[in-house]
Amino acid sequence: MCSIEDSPIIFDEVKIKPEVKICIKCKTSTATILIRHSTYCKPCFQHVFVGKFRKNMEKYKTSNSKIDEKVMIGLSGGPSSRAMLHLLSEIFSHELSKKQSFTEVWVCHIDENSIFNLKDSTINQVEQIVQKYNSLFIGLRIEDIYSDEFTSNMEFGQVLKISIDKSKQQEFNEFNATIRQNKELSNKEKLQSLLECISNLTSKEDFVWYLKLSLLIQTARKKGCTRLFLGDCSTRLATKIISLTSKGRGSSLPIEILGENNYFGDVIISRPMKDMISKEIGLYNHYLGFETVFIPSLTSLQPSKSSIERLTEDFIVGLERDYPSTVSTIARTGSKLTISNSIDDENRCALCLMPYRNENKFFQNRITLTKIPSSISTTNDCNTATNNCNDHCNPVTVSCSQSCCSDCIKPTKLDHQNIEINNTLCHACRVNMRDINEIFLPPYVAEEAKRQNRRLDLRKNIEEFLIDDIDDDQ
Amino acid sequence: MVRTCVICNKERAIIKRPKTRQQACRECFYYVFETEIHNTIIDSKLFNKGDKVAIAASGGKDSTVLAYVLKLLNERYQYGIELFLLSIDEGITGYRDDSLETVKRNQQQYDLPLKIVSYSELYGWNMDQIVKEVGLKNNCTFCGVFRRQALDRGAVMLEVDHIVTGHNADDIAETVLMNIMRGDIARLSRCTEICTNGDECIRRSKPFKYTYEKEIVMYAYFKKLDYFSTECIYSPNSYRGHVRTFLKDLEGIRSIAIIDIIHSGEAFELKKGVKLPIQGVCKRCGYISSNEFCKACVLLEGLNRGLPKLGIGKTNKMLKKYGNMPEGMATIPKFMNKNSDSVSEQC
Repeated sequence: MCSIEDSPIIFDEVKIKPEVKICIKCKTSTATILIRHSTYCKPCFQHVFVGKFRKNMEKYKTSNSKIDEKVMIGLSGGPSSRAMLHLLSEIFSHELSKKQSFTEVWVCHIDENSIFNLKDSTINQVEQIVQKYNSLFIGLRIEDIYSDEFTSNMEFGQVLKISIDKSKQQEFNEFNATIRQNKELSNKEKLQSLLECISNLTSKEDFVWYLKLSLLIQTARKKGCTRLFLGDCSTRLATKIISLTSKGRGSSLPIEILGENNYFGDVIISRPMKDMISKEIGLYNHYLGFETVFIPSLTSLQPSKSSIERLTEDFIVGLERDYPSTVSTIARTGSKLTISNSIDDENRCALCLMPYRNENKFFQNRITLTKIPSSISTTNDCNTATNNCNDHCNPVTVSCSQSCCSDCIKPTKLDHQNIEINNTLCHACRVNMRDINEIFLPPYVAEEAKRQNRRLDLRKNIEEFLIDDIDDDQ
Repeated sequence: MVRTCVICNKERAIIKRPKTRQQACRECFYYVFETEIHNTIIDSKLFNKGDKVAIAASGGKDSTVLAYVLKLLNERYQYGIELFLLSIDEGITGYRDDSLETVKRNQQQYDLPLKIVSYSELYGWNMDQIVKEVGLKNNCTFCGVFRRQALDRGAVMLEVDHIVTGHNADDIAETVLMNIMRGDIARLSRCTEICTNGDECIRRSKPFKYTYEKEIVMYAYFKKLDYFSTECIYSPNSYRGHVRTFLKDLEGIRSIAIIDIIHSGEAFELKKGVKLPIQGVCKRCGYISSNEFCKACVLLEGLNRGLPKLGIGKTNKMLKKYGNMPEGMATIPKFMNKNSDSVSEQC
């Protein structure tokens, strides 16, 4: 369909191979490198590359004038974070001579090999790389997220069990959730059983990424670091912009792609590699002879259509080949987005830690009917949207709030406690939950769900004294 | 094994719903399909009682199903709206002339008044002539820009308050992705709105915002609706083609992805200080425009002066070289929207 939205896209026929291959920077040497439409010689390429990085680092300094900052570098061992480690270390050591602002530098690596049940650990390999630099190293395993110490009070020992009754044939908001002890399994077994119970690779990848992010942020907090450097390059960011959009994570997208943001309060996330494409990073690492660590992913050796993340990556990389401005245009679009002011600080997903919009709980049920309401009456249908939803589109929450939630506060048994999970998960995480039967989520999720439930109960007590804007409209 | 419908648990299931992958029987599918559209209309308060609503009808599946469903819902839920069919004749031999025949049959079948506005009467050019002039590269730009204006002008002639178009969830999701990929921030924040209502413009909405393309085809197929199903002979551009393939693949991985993209699009908020074009009025024809002259006038000027690239590439550069566009030289009739006052009140 061609519509008005189709303003012309003009891709002038780019001359991939200019006749005279001269570096566009020094204009004297013969160019050997082509980045997008520009040709460089080796020294100029390296100069430009480091310059881009420095420019981003300068921005962080001016926008945040903290002195004596402790920082953490997230190092997967892949090309981008490997290059970042080197570039950051150069800046740190350079600044040591002057009066510097970073007092302590931690490098954190998370080993994901237990996802694939591999015996070897990547920790040793990465530690060897880090030893070349003057940094402190901490090596973790992804399953460590199940240990008690990675919670806010650092000793919350319970897990969150979520199960779905498939026989009900309901698509949305049908969770049974309990908080309980689970001492029988080791952390590794807990993680593996979690992944086994997720039937779909898209959801699996999502779970793994947010567990990893939570682990990184918690570790930074524990070490007193106020800044976490992540090595997302612009190719990666462009992929993320499209894949997050496709997974319904539009409201939290800026947090995951912006060059700097302080959504997590005490830990600022910085992405100094955001302006380099993967090709540049590959070349830079090659010239400096950097070794990288092979990190398998859930979709390694899988077909393109095995997950949203994988499909998007292939799509972006493929397009970039024919239209070399794809990545930069997408990344630029993303950089113009911001976290909404209207997002309530309370509305944070217990699992992915991301903000969600308040109104999104019922919209799915209005536009995707999975059953016919038992009592269809036309008068009821003509009611306003909110009434309608509460009436028959979401019987579970309604019945839940009437029957069990008042009891929720007191544990019914000593070892486990029912909990209302709908209000503590974001839309995208609830979509992921459709691919599970029964899972045990780490203590940090249980802790946050419990905290939010307590807030909700408190709110119920004072509800009649709260002024709601929606009431005014009616 | 006979599969039963998971919605009513009684009848034999004959389809798998593309949106949810549920097995459903015919009646339940009709019911959920129609009710979801009804919910969308009610929740976004699209119509007021007594509204005159023009359905942009091309004769294709989307607009044919839209006309059928709107007529049905209007009777079932008593919206109290008056429906019209509005068609644009782009003048594409072997495509539009055939599809217009379908629209004319639809007019008989649904008993709705029909108005046809043609490019040649509005602009003095039809698409066949334009393609001869500009070739097959940017012809869709002409067609798209001209159609948007033509619909508004047709709506003014019909004296309606509202235009509904058959854009479905797939179209909107595709547009969200396209706008991200070409950096069109202004359209990115607009394209998920179910209803656009500038003061100068007639209300325009998309009741199929959450309706999957495949389900529209399914509905038309089982209801045996009479529609025209040939792709336009002047093929669309390839970049959008890549995006469309990607979207279909996404749907294959996870069907909710289409709605999730729209959902994401709605959540996007722009940083303060990001410059957006300011909407004004075209100096020549009075139609809304963010530039001095609206796109249609620039494109038309290009055609008339034998410079078809005028509105495609760098317009200002071209104008410097070949001379400016004189003001007040109305080639398209002046755009007068009598409803503009009352429209803004309703919004």
